Amino acid sequence: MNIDYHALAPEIILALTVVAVLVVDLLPVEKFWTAVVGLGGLFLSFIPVLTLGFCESLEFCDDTGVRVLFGDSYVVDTFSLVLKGVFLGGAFISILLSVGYLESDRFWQGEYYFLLLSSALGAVVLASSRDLITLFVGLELVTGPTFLMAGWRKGDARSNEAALKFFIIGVISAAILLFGMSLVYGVTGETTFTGIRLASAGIVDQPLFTMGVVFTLLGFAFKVSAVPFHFWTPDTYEGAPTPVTAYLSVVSKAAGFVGLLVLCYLAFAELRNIWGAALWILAALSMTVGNLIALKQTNVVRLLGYSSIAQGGFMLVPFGAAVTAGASPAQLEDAFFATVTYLLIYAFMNLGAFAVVIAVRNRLVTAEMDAWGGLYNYAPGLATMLAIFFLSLAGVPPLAGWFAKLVMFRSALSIGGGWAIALAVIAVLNAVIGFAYYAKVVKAAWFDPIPEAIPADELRGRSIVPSLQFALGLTVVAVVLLGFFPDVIARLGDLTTGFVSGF
Amino acid sequence: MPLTLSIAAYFVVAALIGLAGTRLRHALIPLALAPFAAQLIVVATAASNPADFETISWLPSLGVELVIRVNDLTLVLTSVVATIGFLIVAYSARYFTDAPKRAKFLGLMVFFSGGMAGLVAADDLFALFLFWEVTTVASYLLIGFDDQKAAARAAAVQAVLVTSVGGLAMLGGFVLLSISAGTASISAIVAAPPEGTTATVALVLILLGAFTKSAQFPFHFWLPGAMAAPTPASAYLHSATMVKAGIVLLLLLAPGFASEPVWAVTVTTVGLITMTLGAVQAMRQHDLKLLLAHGTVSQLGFMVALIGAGLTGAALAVLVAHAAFKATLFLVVGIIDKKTGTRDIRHLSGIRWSSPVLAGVAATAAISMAGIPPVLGFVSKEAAFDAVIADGEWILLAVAGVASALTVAYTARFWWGAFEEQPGGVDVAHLGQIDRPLIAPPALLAVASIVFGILPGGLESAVIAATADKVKLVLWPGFKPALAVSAAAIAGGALIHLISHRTWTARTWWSRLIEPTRLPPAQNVYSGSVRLLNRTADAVTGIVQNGSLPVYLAVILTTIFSVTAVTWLVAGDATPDWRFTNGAPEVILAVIAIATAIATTRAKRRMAAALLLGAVGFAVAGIYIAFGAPDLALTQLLIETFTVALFAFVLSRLPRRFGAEPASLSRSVRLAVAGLAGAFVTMAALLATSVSPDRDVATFYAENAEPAGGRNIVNVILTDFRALDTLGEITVLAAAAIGIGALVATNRRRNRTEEAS
Repeated sequence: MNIDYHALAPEIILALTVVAVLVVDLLPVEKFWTAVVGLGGLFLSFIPVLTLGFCESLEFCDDTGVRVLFGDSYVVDTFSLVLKGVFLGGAFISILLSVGYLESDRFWQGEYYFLLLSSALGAVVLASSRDLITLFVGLELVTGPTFLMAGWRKGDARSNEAALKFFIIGVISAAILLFGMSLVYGVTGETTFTGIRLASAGIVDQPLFTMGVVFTLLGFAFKVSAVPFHFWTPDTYEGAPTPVTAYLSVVSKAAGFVGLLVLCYLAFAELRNIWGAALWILAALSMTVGNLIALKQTNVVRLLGYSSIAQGGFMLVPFGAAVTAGASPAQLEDAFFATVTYLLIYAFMNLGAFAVVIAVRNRLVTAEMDAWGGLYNYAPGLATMLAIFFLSLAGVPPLAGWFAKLVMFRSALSIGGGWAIALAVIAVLNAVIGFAYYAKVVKAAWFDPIPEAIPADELRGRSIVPSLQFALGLTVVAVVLLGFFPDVIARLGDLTTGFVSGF
Repeated sequence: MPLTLSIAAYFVVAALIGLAGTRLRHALIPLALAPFAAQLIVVATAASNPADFETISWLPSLGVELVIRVNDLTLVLTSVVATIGFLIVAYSARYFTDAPKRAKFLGLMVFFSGGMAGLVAADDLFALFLFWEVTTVASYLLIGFDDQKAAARAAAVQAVLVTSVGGLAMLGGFVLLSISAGTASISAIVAAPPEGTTATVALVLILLGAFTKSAQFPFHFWLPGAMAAPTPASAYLHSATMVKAGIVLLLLLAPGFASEPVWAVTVTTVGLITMTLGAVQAMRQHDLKLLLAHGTVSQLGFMVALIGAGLTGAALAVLVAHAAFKATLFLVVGIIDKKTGTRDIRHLSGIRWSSPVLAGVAATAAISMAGIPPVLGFVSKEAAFDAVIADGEWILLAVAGVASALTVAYTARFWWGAFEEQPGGVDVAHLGQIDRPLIAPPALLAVASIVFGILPGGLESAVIAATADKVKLVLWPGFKPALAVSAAAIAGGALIHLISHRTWTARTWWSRLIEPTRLPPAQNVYSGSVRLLNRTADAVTGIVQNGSLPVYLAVILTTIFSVTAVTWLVAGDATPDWRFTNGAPEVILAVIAIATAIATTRAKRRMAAALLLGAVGFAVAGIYIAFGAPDLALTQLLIETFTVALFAFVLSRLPRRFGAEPASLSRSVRLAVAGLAGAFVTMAALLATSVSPDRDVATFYAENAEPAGGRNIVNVILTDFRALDTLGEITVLAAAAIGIGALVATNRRRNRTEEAS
């Protein structure tokens, strides 16, 4: 078989890195080096992503356009490359967040990075998979290691509970997903998305097929923690080590969304009325319930947990808006682009928000909002970054989050029709609620007095470890830059090639 | 692109101040003043040579460009923003004595000014929105600046919530407008305004944004609340700039949409109501800042009503005049507040004599506010009346006349309250020395009011050029109807003052008369909806996140089943092809299975339940035999036996009987969920059997079981064809067991340590 090794280079390098981390762990060197190897590997595997992306302007590169491998089941196009970049970047920042945390106690560093990188490898595979089986393997490779990572604080009952809840729900969702996929396969006789789409034309009203589609989508609803499949999220987010939570809320969630995107817009393109309706409901519920509960949180980590549910709802809005029957291919491409853009921007701002939380926690130990009062007075830099990330999550221009919200609203409104407009209205109301609680955190850090219970020496305290500083720097630059020049995203190439109308 | 750069300069300076803070020391104030000065220079040089647009390609993918419009309207507005900003920054430099606070405040002020300067100059809907939101966020931080007061925080939250709801509605409107017009450029849209329902809806949403920002009825209530801001911020945001943003937006869009009925009616009506309401409210206030704030609401209403009537030139003239006198008055109040520690007109007395300079400045601004010659306030108001009469807007004229009389009255109230001696007041005879940097900015603004009042020619030509609307700004208009209206307003105002003054501490017929306007319904709607939101949030949290696993499970199951059932209804034909029975044995076995299943749920002892569950399994195995599948039946029997045996092991360590009924879900709800699940699975099974797949998998297994090394097909599937699946299942179960074990162990360890300690 003639294999395009260039197209697979990111996966291959990452797989080798996974092995290398294990080997370094065995060597008699500081465990710190496992992290260095991991970061290096992620960086190296990012290089072929770039060369593949800019193939047409590189001399040595054999430009073959969209690269299709393994009988339609694995595709390297702009969409998959951009998401590979997001996953690699997300994993990179997650490792940066983890270094200080893991060094602070007796943790199993080598194994941790091994698991994190394996999970990232799964995500990178997922981005290219255009086949039910590859998709499932990629998705489970993303999820499997995170079960262990969530329980990394072995002595802590909360961490154990987080891991167990996550595991049980994860397995149930995998079961539902697989059940759905098997029905889809059983009815269509195909596993590639192209095949399913071709076969589905005549059987869209076949109840068993719609049941398979719905189950598949609901399996993903667990992964993206859409309401009402979100119950595990807050407990797991709070109990897991914070860097793991950051990883879960970004890379793992994004992986779920990638699955939804490729399934809905490729495999189930003929069933837009079904997935549009189902995801419309999930979008409205996720935004509303996530935001309302977030409004009541006093703990910043839990607040971010619920906020990520609500943000997931915003990402689902373009899907839900696509329920409108008369939507043109161009409008659907807009909707597709809106979700991808939102996902990309969300990844950076949410990682940044968690980086700030980790940095503040290093000083204050607690993530209770009351204790964060007056942060600006003794840590102005951190407070400024907190404001940047939280206001970006709230969608305040000119920070990146506003562009995400803009394309989201725009896609829903331009599709039009009663349902799409209604969803846009719900989204607008939720954006206001979101603003209220994000601003509450910012206000606490900037304007509230320093609580008296905090000893003065903690305020003058420790500096932020370099790796965390690096992570903060990366995310701040990304959020501000993407806010001012959001068009960078559109310049990444035509993300929608091969989706919707390109079929 | 000088104007664009001068706008960017604000943000650069704000970032510098934010980063360096107090380390700037003496450089702080010059640095903060620099962008304002720079922009004034740019405006002065650009005025002679109005290059049309400065364009930066920003979002080509969405067809959005960062366009800065360099026309006369922009220049007029920019010079108002920059001039007043310059003076107020100079004032605040002395107003704040605490160095870190000063740096923080000046940084925010410059940041806000950048937003405002961008807002008045942006020619692109989305760029305008961007700057609009910058002003919203900056105003939130500025209103909440006084961190000690809970009232300041609540007011800041209220202001920002009201304006950001409006802002988001406006964004929706912008998106719709740009879709229906095919462009996001304001000048292009105004040149060829789109028509149709989409455009109308867009317009309504945009008006919502403008009204919330400019504190128009019924959203006017946030502005007085925002008076919790430090006074320099109030002077700038809530008189001269931010609240004018809505007016600016209306001015920009008016040329294109003034003829739309929805525009004309809504804008004029809202303006008229706001104008009257604000003026009446101002008559009730004892706090000087609140009095001025309600006055601002009223004046903004006047501008809005003028725009609604298509009189943009007059509106712009009033805007400029109002910015000058209202900023002056706020700055004066700031000085009084700082020197005496109070802003209450019942306590202040006799400042006129103790500080004549301050009184002179205030008097100039006050007569401008009241519309008395020879200052700008009179000239602009006169021009407005003139235009209204020329246009034949009689309702507008009547309401504006009444509001003007009220304006004269509340101006008098302001003056007597703050400066004159009064019987009940605490005498503050000695204000002490007022620093020159504090008095200079308002004094300069007062001088400007006089200069432009006496020589309005320059302003007139600028306003005409900016709005392409006829407007006559002259100090002496001659004996015309407009002058009579002005005179009547002044006389009426004086009369109201004579009646009402000296009684403002007591409950008189006057205060009873305006009592009904006391609690504006909109404020109640706002606090009501905030309360409702909070209560809903509590309720949702209680229901959705109550920590009960059975509830979670019930919700998840119900959702899965009902969503699928709905898609069956949506997608169409879901009638299974089925037969009731194949014979008596089946029926008997099914009855046994159902009966034992029901019995299981009613069992009181754990062991009994386990055995009954086993019985269900055996009955199912019987059905397999009846269908001629002995392999399957055998496997089923083995598993059931094994499970019951395992249960017996585990149950020996648990209490004999079940505990009390779980309280989280009532019996009927559980019954309903279970019933739904049963119905769904039945339906799914029936549907599954009515599909005839293309390839017969069963034949494949039957043919290949023997070569794979077994006769029992089920066994072969489990251990050979699907061996990997089996391995996976075992792994999952083992992982779950380890997880549970770890949790139990940690709990036990914790209990032990708790006992030990």
